[in-house]
Amino acid sequence: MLEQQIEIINKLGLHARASAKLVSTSARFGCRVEVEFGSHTADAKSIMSVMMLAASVGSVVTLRTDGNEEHEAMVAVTALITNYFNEEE
Amino acid sequence: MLSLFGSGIGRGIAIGKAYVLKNSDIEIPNSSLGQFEVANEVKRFRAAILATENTYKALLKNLDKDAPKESAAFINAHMLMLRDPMIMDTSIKIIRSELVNAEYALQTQADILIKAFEQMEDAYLRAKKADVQHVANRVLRNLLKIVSHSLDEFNNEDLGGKIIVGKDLSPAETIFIRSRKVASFVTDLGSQISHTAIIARSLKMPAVVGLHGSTRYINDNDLLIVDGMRGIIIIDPSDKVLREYKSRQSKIRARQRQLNTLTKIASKTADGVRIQLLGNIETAKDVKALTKVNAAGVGLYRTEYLFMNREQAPNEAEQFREYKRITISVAKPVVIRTLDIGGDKQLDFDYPNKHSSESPLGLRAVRMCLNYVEIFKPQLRAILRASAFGKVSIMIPMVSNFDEIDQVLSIIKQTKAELKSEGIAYDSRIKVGGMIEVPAAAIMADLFAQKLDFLSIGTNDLIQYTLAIDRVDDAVNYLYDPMHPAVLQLIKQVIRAGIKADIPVSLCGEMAGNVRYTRLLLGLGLKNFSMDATYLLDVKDQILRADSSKLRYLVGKIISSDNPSDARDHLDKLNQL
Repeated sequence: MLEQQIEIINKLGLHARASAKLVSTSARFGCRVEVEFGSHTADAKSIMSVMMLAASVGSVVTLRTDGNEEHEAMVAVTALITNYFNEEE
Repeated sequence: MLSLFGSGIGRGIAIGKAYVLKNSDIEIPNSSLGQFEVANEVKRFRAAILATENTYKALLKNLDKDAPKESAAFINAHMLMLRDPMIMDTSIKIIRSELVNAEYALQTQADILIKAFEQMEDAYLRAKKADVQHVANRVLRNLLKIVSHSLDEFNNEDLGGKIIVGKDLSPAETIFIRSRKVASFVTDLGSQISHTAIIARSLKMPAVVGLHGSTRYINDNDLLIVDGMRGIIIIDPSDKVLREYKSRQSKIRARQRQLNTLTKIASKTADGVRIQLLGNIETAKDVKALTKVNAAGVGLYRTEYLFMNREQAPNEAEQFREYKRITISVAKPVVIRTLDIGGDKQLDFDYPNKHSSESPLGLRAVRMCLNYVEIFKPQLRAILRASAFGKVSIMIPMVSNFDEIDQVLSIIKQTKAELKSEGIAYDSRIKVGGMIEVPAAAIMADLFAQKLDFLSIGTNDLIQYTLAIDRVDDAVNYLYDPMHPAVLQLIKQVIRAGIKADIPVSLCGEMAGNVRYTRLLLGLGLKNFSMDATYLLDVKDQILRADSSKLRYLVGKIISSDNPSDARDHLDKLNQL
C-alpha cells in the first residue's frame, strides 16, 4: 500500500469536472484508490464519494493506493492533481 | 383558425410547426411493493439508468460544435454520477429494503446527497446539488415516461424550421435558438425591449412576444404564421390566409434584395452629412452579417455572452483569443464593451453580492466589475492585448459618477504598465469611452466628456432609468416610451456635450435600429448609429433620403411638445418630409 499527502491547488477544488477526471484516472488501474480528507475517506472511483469530501482549493488530502498497479496509479493521480486537473487556470 | 396579438419583432414572416416548451414538473409517486415485485422494480430502474446513459452518449456524439466548450465535460461528469454506487446501488438497496418504487427510492437518496451538498462551506461545491437533481430528474423522466420539451443541450430533437412556443425564454435558452436553426419563437411574456426581443433581432428572426396565452392556445405541431411586423400569430390558418402570407413573405424578400443594392453606397444624408453606421454584436458569429451590409465597424460588442452559460469565467487567454479573432475578422474599428451583467443577463457561477445585480438599481455592469476586480482585470488585459491587432476601443457600461470613471481609468493605466513591463504588445493610445445609460450621466455629459474619449448612449437603459420602469417587468411595460420628452432632451444634451468637447457620440440602443426614429435622431445631431446588422440597410435607406437641414424645425417641436400624441403627429410629419 502506498500513501502520500498532497494539496489541492486548482481554483475550484474537487468540483464536478475535477472529480470526474480523478475518477476516470483512478478507474484505469486495478488497485483500490482512496482519498482521505478530514474525517472522511472517499473511494476515488466514485464521483459522488469524491465530491462529498468537499475538498476545496488549499485542502491537503491523503492519497492511498492499494493492490495491483498501486505505484502507477499513485503517479497518475498525483500528476493530475499537481497539473491543476488540466484546467485552464 | 385563431389569431393572437402581441409585440412583434422584425419585419419578416415565419411559417412553421409549433414546438411547445414544457418544463415539466416531476411528481414522485410513492407506492409500496410486494416482495414479489421487487425484482421487476429493480429491473425497471436499471433500464431507466441504461436509457439515461444512452441519452448522454448520444448527446456527446451529437454535441454541436458551437456548444459551450465545457458541455462535454459536464455530460461526462453527469454520466459518472449516474453510474455511481452512491446513486445507483444505494437506490436499489432502498427499493429492496424499504419495498418502495424506484422513483421514490431514487429521490430519497438524491435528497440525502443534496442535503449533504447544501451543508458544504465552499460555494462552488454547494452548487453541485443542482447536478445531483439534474441527473436524478433525467432518470425520473425515463421512469415516468415524461416527455420534456426543453431548449438545452439535452434535447437532441430536430428543431430545424420549428416555431418555439413558451412562457418566456432565458438568455441561456436563446443560445439554442441560434444553434438549432429554429425558424421563429413566440412567448407569453416579454416586450419590444426584453432580452428575447433583442436576440430575435440579432438572429434576423421574426418573432412575437408578450402574447399572453400562447402556451394555452397552441398545441405541438399546430401550423403557425408569425407576423413580426404586425405582432400577430395565426394558429391553423385557412388556405386563403396561408397563400396571402406566402405572397407577403416573397414581397418582403424582394424589398430585402432592393435594400441590398444600397450596401456599397457611401452613407450620407441627401445634403451630404456623413453618417457612420456601425453594428452591434454578441459573438464572433455576428461579424459575417455586419460585413455583408458593409458596416463601418462594431459600435458595441457585448462581451457578456462569453461569460454566460458556464461554470466559471473565461480566463484571460480565452478572452484574448476571442477578442483578437473578432478584431481581425472585422478589420475595422471595434468597440468592446466590458462585462455588463444585470437584470436578465446573469452568470451561472457565484460571486460576491451576485443577487444584487438582478435589480435594475443594483450592483451591475461596471459596479459589479469594480467590486469584483478578479473578473474585470483579466478582461481588460485581454482587450488591451487584442488592441495590438486592430483598432480597438474600450467601452464602460453604466457609468454614473466620476469615481467610477477614475477607478476604471486607473485600473486600465495599471494594466497597461503591467503589460509593458511584461513586454506584451497593446495599443498605448487605446480609446476609453463610457455608456450613457443613467440620467445622472446624461446630465453630467459635459463633464464626463472631458474624461472620456467617446460617449455612447444606451437608450434601452436610459429610458428605463429616466422613466423609472423596470424593463423586464411586464406590468409596467406600457410606460416604456422612447418618445418621452425627458428621454429626448437627455439624448440631445449628450449629443451636444460630445460636439462641445469634440469627441464622438454614438447611440447603440434599440432606437438606433428603428427607422421610425432615424430622422429624429439625425435632427438631434447624431452622427454615429450602432445597431444590429438586420436594420442597417433600412436605416441607411432613411438616411440617404433625409435632408438634415430641413429636420430641425419639426425635431424642435417634438422635444418641446408637452403631450405624447402631439409629439407622435410631429414625428409622422417628420418621417413624411
